[in-house]
Amino acid sequence: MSKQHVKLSIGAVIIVASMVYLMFSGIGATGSTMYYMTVPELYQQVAALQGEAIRVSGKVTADPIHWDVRNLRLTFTMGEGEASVPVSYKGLKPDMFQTGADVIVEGQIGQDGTLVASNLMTSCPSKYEEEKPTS
Amino acid sequence: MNTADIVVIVVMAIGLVVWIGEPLIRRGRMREAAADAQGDAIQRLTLQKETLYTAIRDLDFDHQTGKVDTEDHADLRRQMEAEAADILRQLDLADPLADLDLVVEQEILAYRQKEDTAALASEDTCPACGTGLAADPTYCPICGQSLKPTV
Amino acid sequence: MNDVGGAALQFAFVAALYAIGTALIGVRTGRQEMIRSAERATLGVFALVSVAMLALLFAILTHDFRVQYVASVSNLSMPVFYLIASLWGGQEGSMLLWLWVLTLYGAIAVAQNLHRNRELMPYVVPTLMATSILFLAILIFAENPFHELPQAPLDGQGLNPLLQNPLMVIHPPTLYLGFVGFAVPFSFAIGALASGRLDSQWVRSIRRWTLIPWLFLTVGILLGGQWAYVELGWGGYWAWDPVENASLLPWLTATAFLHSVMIQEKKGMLKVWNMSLVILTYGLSIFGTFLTRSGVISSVHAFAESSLGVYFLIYLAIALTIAVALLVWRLPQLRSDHRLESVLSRESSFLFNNLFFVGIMFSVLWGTLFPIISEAVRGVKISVAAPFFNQVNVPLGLALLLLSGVCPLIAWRKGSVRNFQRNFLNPLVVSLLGVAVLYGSGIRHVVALISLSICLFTFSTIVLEFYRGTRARRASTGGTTWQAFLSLMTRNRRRYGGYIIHFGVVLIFVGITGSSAYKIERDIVLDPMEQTTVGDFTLRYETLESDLQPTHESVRAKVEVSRNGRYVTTLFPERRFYFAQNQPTTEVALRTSLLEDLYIILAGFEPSSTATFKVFVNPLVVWLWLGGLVMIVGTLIAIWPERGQPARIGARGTPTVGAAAEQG
Repeated sequence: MSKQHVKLSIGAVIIVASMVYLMFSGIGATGSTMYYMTVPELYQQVAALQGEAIRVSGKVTADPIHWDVRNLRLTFTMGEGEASVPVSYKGLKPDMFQTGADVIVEGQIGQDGTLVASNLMTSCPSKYEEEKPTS
Repeated sequence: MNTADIVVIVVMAIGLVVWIGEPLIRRGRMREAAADAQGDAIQRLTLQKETLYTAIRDLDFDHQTGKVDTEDHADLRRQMEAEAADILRQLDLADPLADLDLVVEQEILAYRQKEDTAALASEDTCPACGTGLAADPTYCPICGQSLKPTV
Repeated sequence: MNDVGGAALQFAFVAALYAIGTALIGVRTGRQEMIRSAERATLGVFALVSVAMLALLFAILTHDFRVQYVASVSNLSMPVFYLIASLWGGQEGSMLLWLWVLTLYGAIAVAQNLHRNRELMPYVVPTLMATSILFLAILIFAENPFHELPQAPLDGQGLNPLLQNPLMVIHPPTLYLGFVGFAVPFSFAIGALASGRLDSQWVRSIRRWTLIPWLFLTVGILLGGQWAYVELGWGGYWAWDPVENASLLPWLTATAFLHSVMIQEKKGMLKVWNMSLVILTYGLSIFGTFLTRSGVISSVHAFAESSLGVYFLIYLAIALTIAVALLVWRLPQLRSDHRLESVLSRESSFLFNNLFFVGIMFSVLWGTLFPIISEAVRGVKISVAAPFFNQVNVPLGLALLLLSGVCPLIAWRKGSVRNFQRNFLNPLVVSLLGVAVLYGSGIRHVVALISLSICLFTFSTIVLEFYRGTRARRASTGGTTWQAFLSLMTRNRRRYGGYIIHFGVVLIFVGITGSSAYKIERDIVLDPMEQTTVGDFTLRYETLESDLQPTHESVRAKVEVSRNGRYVTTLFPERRFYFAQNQPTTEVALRTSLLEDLYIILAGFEPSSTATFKVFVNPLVVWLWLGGLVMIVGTLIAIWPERGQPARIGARGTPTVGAAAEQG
């Protein structure tokens, strides 16, 4: 290997090493990753997950939905089967938010077991295609 | 399935078979020049030559725009010219018209030697490639641009 | 007509299989007529797929709701424009469009190479046809667009209203033209590997074939961003969503290839690396299609989940195995012709550029696949959010931008430190002065300052390049500055087209910097005639108006916008409810200026007319779209065929050889 190649390789190694570092530290950094789970999975380990960033998918249950428009506070219950968790969200009520809607909530479990949401999305089964007509 | 559809489908199928099969029937008349080793070599060398010419022009341009030092420029240019000459020699050997080319080649080499001594004295550059020229040239020694008004 | 469409697809399947077999046997036995016949079959496949497209279009335009696809994406009330768009509004139709674009490219590649690259064609044809067979198989066996319902509904469901936007009509075709296009360079690479014709010829042939899909992909990505921005109503244009990432991955490797291929052309180096990039780009474009179509990774885009994934994975595994095996087999013939002459040279700066592009690609891939990896390894589902991608890619992207500024200052082969310093000085002074001015005007955001200073630096090196080049041209040819400038551009379209593309990229970075560092986002609640301030703007909510249309009901708020007591404009954020799809949508009210976008969404309203709004002030967003336009212009300049080069007369050999060499 010539001297040029040695110099070049050293440069390349430094760059690659810093990219690898960025990738792994990035995954570990707060806010970068969230546990992604369904309501039943969350239900089993609510206590253990307190304070962790989580992303939960489920349905809006038939329990009453409170929408305080002045303070932009939305409280409802999301669940799946037996499991359910109360959710408190500050922000705008998204499109299609209604009883039975599929929602994805991002946030943390608070002291009282309420899921304090920083982000609330309704996910239609598919945005690009309507559900196939059942034939 | 209605009749019109069936007709269209049948026409489509027949058309496809005729279209694809036709070259197979014509096989006797389809003589294509198979690539020979000599042609390959010439093609490869021609490519290398063009690559080098482009590199030389880039180098000259980099020099003109002040990215390459004059010394580096002279060094690299000499190096590349040597490579180009080598490729041209190989091309001559591979070329069926080698005999004719050899004469031209020698003339150019002779011209180049003259140019080496004369170039410093002349301020002219080739309008096509920017090469420094000997005094009163007819063709640019590098890119071959004609430098005399055609009659 | 539906049966005709279905039959056309089946015939195409057979013809594609025939083309693969005949071409391979033809090249083994040296029978040219078989290769010609296989090429005819390739053209035939294109014609047949076109027939299928027309049949589906016919069914949509005649409202043939017996066809399940037609019933699910169109309805009686849609205008013709969107009826045509619904051809690719759903899964089956978009797969058919994908296939059609692929066979179109294949037909062009065959037609272009009737008299050249003859040794490569017997392998190019089977490679292209193999990709077509993947899609034909899916369309025939899994997602038949002509599948008929036992009973035709009275009316169709109609195209999703979110997709009823002119941007969304052209976005998928452009993205596909990009994605699919990489199949052509890939097939030429396979052709070169299999035939052993590994000289620079094939690289020249595919340069333009890479640049064209690259342009479409660039435009497609930007259009997608713009669509998300104006239609989805979350105030942003890029969310690091898996589907967006899927389109970015092949773009990154293709961009790397477009840079490193220059070194192969000029120096005969990096042959294995370039070959790998071509293979990787193709693999990623198939993988991207797989990601978006299979529903493996949950995404806000959420295409219908389906079992298609298996087809893609099997195909991808086979294609990559063959490609890599061929590459390993030919390794001895892929040695470099030259060695690197100096660390401080354009060549080595291109190497680093490639390293960054591939690094960004891996980090995006890593973030996109991390949920799957973590579930497989640790059994925990983890989602990776935007902060990860930003944290990794902002430094890498800025490094790359800096490199694009530094690169042109370094000479090919050998730069000297002294020249480097001399060339470096002016741009550096400009960018430092710029930063001082920005700091003085109150910008304290560190990343924004760094980013803008790099933008300024790169911009000034580009200007310097044009200035120096023009001066040098003028010195050697005389004439006016303008003439010299034009002749500079026309004599080296690739180089100066490339600089213009870089300028577009600088503008895009300016847009991204402004809109991410200084974005204002506010949720507000207003009663009628109440007002509030967001940023510099004062918003006064006046009334709520509702309107009933045949397809939807709309409610819009009238908002008067003023700044510093002066009236600016009146905006009408709107909510619509589409009856056919039972779906509400938001229509964003947008006021764009060169400095910032004011972006208002009507989030909801109460019976009392109290309305909730989401308001964004996004600085400099418009520069993203302008930068995209500049990139298009630059690419077109670079693609435009160069006329005969002055180096011609040095050429020896027969005219045919000369012509062959011209085919770049």
